[in-house]
Amino acid sequence: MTSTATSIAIDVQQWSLSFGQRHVLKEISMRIPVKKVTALIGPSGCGKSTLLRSFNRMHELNNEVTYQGSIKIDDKDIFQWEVTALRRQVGMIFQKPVPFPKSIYDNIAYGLKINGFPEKEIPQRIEEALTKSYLWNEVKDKLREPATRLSGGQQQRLCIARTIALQPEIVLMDEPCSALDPISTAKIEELIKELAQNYTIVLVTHNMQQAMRVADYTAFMYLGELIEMDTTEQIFHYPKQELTRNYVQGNFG
Amino acid sequence: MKKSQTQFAEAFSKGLLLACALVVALLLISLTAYLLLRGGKVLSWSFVTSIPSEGMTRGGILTPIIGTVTLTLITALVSLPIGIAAAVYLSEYASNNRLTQITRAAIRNLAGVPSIIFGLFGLALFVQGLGLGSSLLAAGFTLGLLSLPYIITTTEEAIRAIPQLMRESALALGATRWEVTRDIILPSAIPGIATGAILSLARAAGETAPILFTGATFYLSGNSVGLLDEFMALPYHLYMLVTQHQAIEKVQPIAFGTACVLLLIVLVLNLVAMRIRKKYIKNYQV
Repeated sequence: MTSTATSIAIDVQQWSLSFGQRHVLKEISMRIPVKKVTALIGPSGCGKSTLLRSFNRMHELNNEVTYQGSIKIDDKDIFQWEVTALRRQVGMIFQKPVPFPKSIYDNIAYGLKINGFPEKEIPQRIEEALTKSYLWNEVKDKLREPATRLSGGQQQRLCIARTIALQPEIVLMDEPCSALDPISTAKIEELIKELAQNYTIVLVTHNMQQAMRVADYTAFMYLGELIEMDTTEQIFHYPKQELTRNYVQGNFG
Repeated sequence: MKKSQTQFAEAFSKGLLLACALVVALLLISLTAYLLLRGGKVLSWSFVTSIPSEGMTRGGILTPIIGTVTLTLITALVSLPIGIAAAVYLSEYASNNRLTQITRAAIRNLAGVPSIIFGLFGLALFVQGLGLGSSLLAAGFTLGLLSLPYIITTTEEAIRAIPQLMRESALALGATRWEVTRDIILPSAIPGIATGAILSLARAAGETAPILFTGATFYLSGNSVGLLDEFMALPYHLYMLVTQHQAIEKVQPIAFGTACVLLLIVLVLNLVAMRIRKKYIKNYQV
């Protein structure tokens, strides 16, 4: 990696993961820098989402899963974290926005409440989170309305708001625009760049243009292996690996 | 040629399906009309607010109404907590192993057991085994058991309909499994759970066989309800009047009136279920 000076948000060492007999990730080692956008790209089934979901231990619902290697966040192995504390520190945005069946206000208040934020700080934190996710002006007069009445793009920004309201250090995004139209996508991309000033962002995307537009670093994965990781500029214009070159030039995928 | 054939097939299948739907609707309408025609005369406010008198040939049906309502309440108190908890365990916590599969199969099969068998089981376990005697409590427990498989199955279906992403979204915010279940899963599943629960209770309220040996009696003077006393219930009252009463001419209108009231209670319960569903869908579009 080029910029060794930047500090490391997520340190992945020899990380392998299997679902039963199926080896999905093979000895992946990478360092994800602090307060940058790192994109994970690669063809479907390459393991990029699986890797992302390793970071906040989302695979624990599946009891067939086995791991090897280590992932450290804040110099602490993720399995030494208490899982709820880890997930507060490492937020996640999913492919489709899924608002809870609650009001816009309560969608954000919920995470704050279960994580023990003081009751009297909640309104202030909700306004901040909505402002940071560029949603405040659109929803400030209807905070008590069901969140499901928002448009898809607004719902996704609400999901981002409820994640950053908890003040995480890292935000994982699993193809956050795949269910959105181009205009909503543009807004989310704008937001991602903005958020990178305060948060470390790891973005899984199948859209190479998106990676080029928003990511500082890009990692290319293929068949469960990390092929190459570098600055986005390097990956797309001067890839070192033949496989990376073929993929970013659209020869397969 | 080909085109007109397709059109004919289309019209034919549509007509056939429509006819089937109409048959069902007609059945319900004619059933209701017949009951109203035969029993409508006796229906009045005093019919539902006065107790049976003169050997049940006169008076109203307040006693069996009270019996059926309290019985249904006990049934709900027994079956809802256990049923919902069991469904939550099966859908959210149980791993998909042999024990879970056997449990689930057992629950499905329990739904197919004839209700008279539940009556015999209730007689053996509650009336005699636990010494509750022939009583409201024993009958309520028996109907509770009868309702369990339906409540578990419909609750499980309602919970399964919630997208996995909803659970993951809550977990990703640092919620524990229990917090996800309590705050996200159960509230989202309420329309489905309520509908299933009310339909099962409506069915239980109309059951005769399970309460036959566990607590229902054909006649009570007065309308007090004790948990350990026998009680009158609408379906059993109906059965009694139609088959066991010697003054058949006199009691027949009362029997049809009773049927109308029973049907009305079940209808009201169903309407409540529909309303709950609509209200939640309107508010949350879940």
